[in-house]
Amino acid sequence: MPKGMLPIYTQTVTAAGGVASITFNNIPQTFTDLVIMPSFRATLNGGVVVTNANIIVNGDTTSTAYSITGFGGNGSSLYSERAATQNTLRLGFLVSSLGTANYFSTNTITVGDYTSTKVKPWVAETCTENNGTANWTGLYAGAFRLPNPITRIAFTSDAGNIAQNSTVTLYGIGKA
Amino acid sequence: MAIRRFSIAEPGVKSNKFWDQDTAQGAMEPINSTVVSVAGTVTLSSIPSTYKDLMLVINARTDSSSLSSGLLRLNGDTGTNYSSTMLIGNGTSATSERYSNESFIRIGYAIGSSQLATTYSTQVIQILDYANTSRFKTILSRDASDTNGSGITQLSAGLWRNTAAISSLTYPVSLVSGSTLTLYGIKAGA
Repeated sequence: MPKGMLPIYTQTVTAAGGVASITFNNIPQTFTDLVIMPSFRATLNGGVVVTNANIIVNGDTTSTAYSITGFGGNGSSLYSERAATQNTLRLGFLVSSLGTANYFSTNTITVGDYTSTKVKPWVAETCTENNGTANWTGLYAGAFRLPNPITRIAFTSDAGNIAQNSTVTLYGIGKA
Repeated sequence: MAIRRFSIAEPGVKSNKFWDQDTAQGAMEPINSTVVSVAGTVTLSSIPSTYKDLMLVINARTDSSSLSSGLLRLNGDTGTNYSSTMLIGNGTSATSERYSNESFIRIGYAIGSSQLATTYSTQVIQILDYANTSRFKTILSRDASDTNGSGITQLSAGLWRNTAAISSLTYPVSLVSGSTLTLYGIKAGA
């Protein structure tokens, strides 16, 4: 059993047009928890400056697999949202193509007891900051509700591809 | 120990090598630990560019009499190149605030010297891809300031509109003796 927090894998988007997804395959089952740190933006916008990241666990897109509850703010107003029986885990923000160049979001995501056969809880802190408009900060709870241990995690964007220079690092946390 | 590759990168994605976890080193390494002995501002300098991310943990108490803003500057830049967006709760109400074109990032609050004795605010700050010169620097900060009956907690985003690698961090608010700042470097996969 590995101890402490260890880097498992880092992926950096190098393609000028971005990529449709960033996927971590064959996640080792020897840690207790996972930490994921994505910093990314999207190639399209869907009419918004900040768009959502979607996470697909184990390739499962059945509509009963995921749920989220979160709250956040944009500097002037607050919101809270809930979505049940989703077919992706909508956790984290990306700066869309409407955001000024060089702006990337920052996210930290923790997955508890990812090898268990229970519902797997996720917690995400996510933010974008754009110096004046379309800034969002949020705290989200999520759940992967199927009993399967997590072996594969894929990130996609609500708007186009995940853009060049985006990075995602996966860490494992082991028991003391 | 054999080296195993656990994942294959998709086209257009650069993947770091993935080493057998038995040979992997810890992800977090302490870069700088500072304990304030004389009241004043603190700068952590000569930050190496060899890590993937940074995490800064601050236990802050200021020489201001009351709760004051906790602030951060990067690379000594005092220009108006920073902005912040925050979620704030104080036990009775929640707000969201935004500040643009300031000379610092707002990372939270700091307990003042006239407040509950021996009590410090805690701020945990994440800076991803701090050495990447193709992007501006976004930080994610959490703050906890509780004085047994009053308090405030904050989750905030901060931006420094500069693509330079981060080589120093300054807390430009006078901290009292006993405040601590610990900077960790977080490694990429192998």
